[in-house]
Amino acid sequence: MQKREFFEVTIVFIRTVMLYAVIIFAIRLMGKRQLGELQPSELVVTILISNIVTLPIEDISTPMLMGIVPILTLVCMEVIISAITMKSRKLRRIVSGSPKVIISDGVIDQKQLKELRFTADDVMESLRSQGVFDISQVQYAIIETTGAVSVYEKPSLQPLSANSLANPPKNENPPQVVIDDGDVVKKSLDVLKLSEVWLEEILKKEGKHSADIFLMTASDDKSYKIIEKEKGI
Amino acid sequence: MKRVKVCIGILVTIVLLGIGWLLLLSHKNNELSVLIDNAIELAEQGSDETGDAIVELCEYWRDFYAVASMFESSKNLDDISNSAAKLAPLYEKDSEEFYSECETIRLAAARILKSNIPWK
Repeated sequence: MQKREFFEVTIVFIRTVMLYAVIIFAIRLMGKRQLGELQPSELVVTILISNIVTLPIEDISTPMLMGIVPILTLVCMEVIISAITMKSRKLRRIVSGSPKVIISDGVIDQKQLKELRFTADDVMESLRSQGVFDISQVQYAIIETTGAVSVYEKPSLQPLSANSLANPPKNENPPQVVIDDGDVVKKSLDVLKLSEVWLEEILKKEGKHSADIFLMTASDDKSYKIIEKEKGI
Repeated sequence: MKRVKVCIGILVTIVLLGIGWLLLLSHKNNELSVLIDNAIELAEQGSDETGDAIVELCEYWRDFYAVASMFESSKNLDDISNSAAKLAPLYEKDSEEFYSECETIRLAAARILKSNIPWK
């Protein structure tokens, strides 16, 4: 190996090690959210990082900072935007989208599937990956913002538990989020065929204000669960 | 919130470093231009100090290179280094190309500065 080639290989090696450390730091900075399923903005950042990092590694005439600066900028922007979206449900919907119900009460929402450009094959494939091979077993299915499909099987087909033995379950949809971090989710109330007046009455009865509630879920039978916000967070 | 604070800190650092580096590059560019003017003027007068002015110019270019290489591709900088290396031999041969190489260095350095200004 020529002396010049040896130097070039050494430079590539050192650059690769340094960029590896920067990427590890960047991924750690993005937090645990990154390690699970990717939100659209996180997917964009991940793709961009993998492309950016190859430039200074492959071409030693490109300065290292040309790789490090965009990686850190993208990751920092992602962390800051995700922190801002935590405060605003509307912004969160713009950046990450919202989950879409594709099967409710065992009925497929074909209009929704068309909007999502999901074919019948895609639906069946997603159900199979969840261990459901018969669509008639599905009570409720939802496409999450990550693109994953969550399936809720009909309660009458779910494994027997001590609770279900005492109270045989009815085939009803799972609870919906009606208050999310202080914000009333009107869409969920519509799905449950409940009104804001009903919600106000419940809050009045419980002696709580919607701004003090971290999460409130409600079911078709008007049963609900309230989790208050922890103070000082 | 700790992560958000760290990220804001990193972004502010990047912006400040970028502005600082741009100002430094602009200053170096002006200085280089002055040295080029000086070398051309002395060469036109046929002064004995022209050789020293060329050496000073080349040394200054080496400093400029060290600063510019932080963000600029070394391929672009090497072209200017080649031009700088030709100055002394061209002057010794009393070649007219000496002046064109000086202008090449000036233009290339200005192009580096311009390419690093985001709004240009």
